[in-house]
Amino acid sequence: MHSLRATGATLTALGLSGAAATLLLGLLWAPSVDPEAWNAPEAYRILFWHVPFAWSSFLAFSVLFIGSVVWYARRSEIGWRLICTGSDLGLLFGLGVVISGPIWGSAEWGVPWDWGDLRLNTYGLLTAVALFLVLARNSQPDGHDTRDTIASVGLFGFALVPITALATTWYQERHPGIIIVETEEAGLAPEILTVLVLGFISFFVLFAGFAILSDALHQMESRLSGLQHRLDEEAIR
Amino acid sequence: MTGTTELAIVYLALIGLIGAYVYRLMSRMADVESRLEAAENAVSSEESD
Repeated sequence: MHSLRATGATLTALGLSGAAATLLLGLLWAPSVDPEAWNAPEAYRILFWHVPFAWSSFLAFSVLFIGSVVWYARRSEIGWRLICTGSDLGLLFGLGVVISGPIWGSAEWGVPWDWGDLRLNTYGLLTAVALFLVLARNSQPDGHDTRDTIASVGLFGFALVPITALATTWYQERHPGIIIVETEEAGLAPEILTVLVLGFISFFVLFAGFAILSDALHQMESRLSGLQHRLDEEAIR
Repeated sequence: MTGTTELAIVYLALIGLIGAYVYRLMSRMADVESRLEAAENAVSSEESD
């Protein structure tokens, strides 16, 4: 357990350092974009954290999905721990996207949210699902019924991931399309691409560190709960 | 308008969000660890009795 926590702490420290480097390079090294083509050209630098936050949230929802499937298939503790970790990290990274996106939208579009844009709305719903799962876990008594309900909502939430990820290809309204793929309309300066790739790697490492630490915490809580139950039973005897 | 203010607000908010998560994770871990240690001591003393 201690070596696992040490690994988690190391990955978290590495990920945070990489995220800080991404931020500095994004602010100081990445070139400015054409001020004629954008309403708020400097605000584009938000994407260096906004996009890795979004992909990290998709990873978190994948963990949630795997946990939900494992919980339904085996009713095992590891399935439940994956649900806990996936929903916690889904909420963290989802909130980051939902905070940063509308602020950029206010600067660039003049409005923070477009209710006619599929990606914005499905992503908002996805974050609301994560919020529901975290609140439900903390407010409901722990038991198989509660876990079944939370796992079913987790499965529903994951269905929104491919819809959200591909929404800009299928049904683009306001949200920019997939920028990492070079097309005739969209292409990135090499410096911007380099910083963005550093951001992806850093946030992937940070996600791994957070996931390991979060899982260690849920393992400890589960063990504590078992010991308290045992002490309660011995006190009754 | 170049969007510099919005850029600053976003990064301050995201740094605050990650900082709050790390703080909460670490403080919960320290709390659960101390309670776990107390519970383990209680169980082992009951077993020795």
